[in-house]
Amino acid sequence: MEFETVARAILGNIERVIDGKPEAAEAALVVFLAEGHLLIEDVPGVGKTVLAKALARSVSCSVRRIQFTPDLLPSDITGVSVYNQSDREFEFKPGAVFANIVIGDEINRASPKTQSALLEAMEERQVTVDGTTYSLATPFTVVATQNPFEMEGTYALPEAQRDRFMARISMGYPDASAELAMVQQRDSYNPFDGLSAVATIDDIAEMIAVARAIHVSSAVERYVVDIVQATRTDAELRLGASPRATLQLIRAAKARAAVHGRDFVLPDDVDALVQVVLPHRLIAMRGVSSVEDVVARIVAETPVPAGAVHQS
Amino acid sequence: MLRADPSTRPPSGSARQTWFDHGVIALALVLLLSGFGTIVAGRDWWVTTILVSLMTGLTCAVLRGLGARFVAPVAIVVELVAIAWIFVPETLLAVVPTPQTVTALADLVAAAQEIIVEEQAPVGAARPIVLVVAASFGLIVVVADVMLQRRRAAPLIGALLLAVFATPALIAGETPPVWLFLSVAALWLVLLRSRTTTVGASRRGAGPALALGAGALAAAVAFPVVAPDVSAVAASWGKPPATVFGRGINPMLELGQNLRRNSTTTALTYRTSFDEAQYLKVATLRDFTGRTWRPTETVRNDLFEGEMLIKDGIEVDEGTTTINIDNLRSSFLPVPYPATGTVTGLDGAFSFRRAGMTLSSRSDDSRGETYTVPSLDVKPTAEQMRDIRTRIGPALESYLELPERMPAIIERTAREVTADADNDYDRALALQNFFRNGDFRYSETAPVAGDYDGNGVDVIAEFLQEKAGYCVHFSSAMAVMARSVGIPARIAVGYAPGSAGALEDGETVYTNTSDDLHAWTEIYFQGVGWVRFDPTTSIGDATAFVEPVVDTPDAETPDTPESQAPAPQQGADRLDDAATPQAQADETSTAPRSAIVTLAALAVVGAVPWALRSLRRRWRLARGRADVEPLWRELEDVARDLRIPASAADTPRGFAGRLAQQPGVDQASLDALLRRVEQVRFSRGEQPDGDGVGDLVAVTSSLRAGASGRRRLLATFLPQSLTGRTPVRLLPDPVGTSSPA
Repeated sequence: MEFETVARAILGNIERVIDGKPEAAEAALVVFLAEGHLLIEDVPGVGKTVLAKALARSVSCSVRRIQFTPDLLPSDITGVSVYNQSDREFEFKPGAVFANIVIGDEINRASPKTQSALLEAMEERQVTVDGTTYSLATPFTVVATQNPFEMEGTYALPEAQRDRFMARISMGYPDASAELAMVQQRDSYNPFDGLSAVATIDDIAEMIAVARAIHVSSAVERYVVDIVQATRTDAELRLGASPRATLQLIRAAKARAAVHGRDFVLPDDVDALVQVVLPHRLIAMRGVSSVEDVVARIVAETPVPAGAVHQS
Repeated sequence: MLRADPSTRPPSGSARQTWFDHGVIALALVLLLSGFGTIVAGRDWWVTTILVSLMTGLTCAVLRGLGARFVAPVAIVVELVAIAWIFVPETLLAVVPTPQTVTALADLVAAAQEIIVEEQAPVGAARPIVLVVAASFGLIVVVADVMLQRRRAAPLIGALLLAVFATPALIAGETPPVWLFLSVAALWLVLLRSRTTTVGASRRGAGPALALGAGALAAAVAFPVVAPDVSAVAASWGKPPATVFGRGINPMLELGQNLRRNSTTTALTYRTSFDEAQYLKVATLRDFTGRTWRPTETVRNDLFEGEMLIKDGIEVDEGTTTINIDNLRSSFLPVPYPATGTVTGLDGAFSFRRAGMTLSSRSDDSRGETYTVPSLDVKPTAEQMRDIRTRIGPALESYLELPERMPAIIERTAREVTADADNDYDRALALQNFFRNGDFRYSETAPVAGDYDGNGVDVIAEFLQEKAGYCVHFSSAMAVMARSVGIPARIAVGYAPGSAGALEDGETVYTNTSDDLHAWTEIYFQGVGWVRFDPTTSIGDATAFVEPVVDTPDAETPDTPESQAPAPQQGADRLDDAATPQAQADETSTAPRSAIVTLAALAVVGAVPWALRSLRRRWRLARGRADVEPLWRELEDVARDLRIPASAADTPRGFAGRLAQQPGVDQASLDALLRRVEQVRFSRGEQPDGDGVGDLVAVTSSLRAGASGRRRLLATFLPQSLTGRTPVRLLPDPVGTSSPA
């Protein structure tokens, strides 16, 4: 199994169903291989769910999809113990999180209690029901979508819960040519028909192990820390990034380096990921139009250490 | 992802704009320099001043171009070194100033100060003066450069230009030409407009400011026209009665100007009880600096004045002279010499100066005074005079002082003329006759035309050859020649005997006009006092005492060692070391030297950055065999020198992406070098094979080849990398770096 080959194949699959969005596809794959969770935030109809489904279909693994609604209960997510008449004991019926890839549609439409149940599962990678703890599948990735404009009947995700997502991406509208191509193709066939799994669950586990082992030089570590620290002192930000963000940024950068066939992380990997890993964790000061712009400025102002960095 | 945020980008004028502003100021300064023609004579100083200013200005420009700090101090150092090279090259150790340089420059500045205090504008373009003017303009350039860095520079620069404009006018007392004012003002308006529009203000904001500036200028120009009465009154304050010896620090220098003045006015009238018309003395000049005569500065009791010194047996007449000042404005009053006793009829606080017995006041002036002065007419016989052997005591030595160096012709002529005389009286007569009865002619204009006006040693030498001049030249020449043969001498300035008119109370009334202004020589004879000798041909009376011998014992003749003070011997010494051709050449033009020095210095200043940069590159290439970091650093510097936009916060790949956008870049070598540096910096430490020197050379030469000619020139002569690394800048991301492979 060649890491890069498999990665390219998965990306190719995703790009077959979503035209003109290679960055979003790559970010999704990187988060998957870095064992993170992905938040896709965008207006309806741009392919959030399609992206998640395409990723799931490319890997032969278990996939569950939860449509979040205000009346969704925590037990629908985690599972519930029911009394089995024949066995005369309680039997655990696993909820939707017991899958390798969990697609949570419109996550912010559920009640906070239900959201919390999912988010706890994301962080702990286990579920406790009636005193019994059940481990979740490995790998385990939540791909949640949320709709920023639909305010009615939604519960905004608190910062602490947004922080659990390794990355947040936006799909954005396709450009004219991509949209035209989409119209012509979809007319004739369903793109999901042609999608076949290109990797097994074992392949993915192996790839995750490879990505974990990617080398991060002290210079790049320092670079990441400098950027994160800068978000905490920046005058335009009210809330900076957490240490969890630091870890996840490095983790994601490793996965990205692996996807690009390198065994060491470049600062450019960090640069490419910082806009999907950091902004959803930050809160701008009043009057600052865009957190992304602030992050862009911070990156542009933070030099990359040239040599090895020693702890001082 | 766009990194640049226009609102956070630091404000900076374009380079072209800066050059334009500097050019405008340079032009204005050159124009203003022409205004200094009224206070400094000649052309040389022009060239030197412009070259020094050019040096300084270019140094500023080069440093600003490099983005260096401490521009002003460095520019001043460069200016000082250039000045040392031009004016005191012999004290330099190659280029490095030594303590002697400082001393020599200080001497020159002191000399300049002396000239400025002593001489009347326009002064000759002597080296000290050129030094001061050139240094000042260099400094002005530095100040203007500093001012231009400020946002609201225009008002400051206006003030600076105005100060430079006003300086010659204040010194010379002449109004500078209107065209000069208008053209400098126009340049300032151009600058004002340029500054107001580049600072970021809207044109609408610049409009009122421009209108205000133009209005103020128009008012300034129009004022004298609109209000002619004011200027007429102002003019009348200063002029009649003509100011003579009034404002001037040195009467000697004003003499020629007053004599050449076209209008003749009656200065004074006098009547005297003496039979002869009187010389009326205004000032006595004792100290001779080699450049000019000036009044005695040290106020100490001068024991060589007055009646008490006159030896018994010498005939003395007493008489009075009544003087009525008409059109003369001066703080000195003309009096006959030697005056005795009290002056009557004076209205004001006048007092005698002990040295020279002249009458002056600190506070009052002469207008309208009528006063009576008792005085003596000392009439020794020629025989008595011939017997006098003046004893040169310490107090008299100052009347023999001569400058260290004098043109040889002065003393040679003095010795030739006095060769046959064996006493001071005959020598003095010989000198007087040499001038009065020789080939000399009286001319108030010839010295000016021949450019030897004045009374310094050089002027005297010239005068002895040209044989044309007026009283200043005659008296100064005779006094210096007398001193050179050991006779105490000084100069008196005042009025020659006027023209006789009607009788009044049995006394002739004489009228002195401004044309009677005069200078003559006084020579000291022990036991007689200061005796007037008037060497000026065709003016006044030659001094000659009655020849019939009056029996006078010469017992009083002193015979002390001091009387044999080797004054002639001193003169002979001076003859040897005076006026060698070398010394003459030293005093001449500084322009060619300054031109060469400036060109050489410009070449050096231009070559220094290039040389440093080349050395650094070589060193890095040498180290690049073992390590890629120096090579990458070199690549960053080459990009900086070629003004390729980059930021210190760029990743290596991001930086390479910027270079890849340059035309003609060798992409393969660039990628190879990039892989090398990434591997070294970020991988587990595997070292790539070989070295990247070849790649670096390929990339840098392709970058240079692709750059425009202007950028190549900038990279060669103004390598910005010398002033440090690329700063962190907010720039748009280069294409392709957001998804590195």
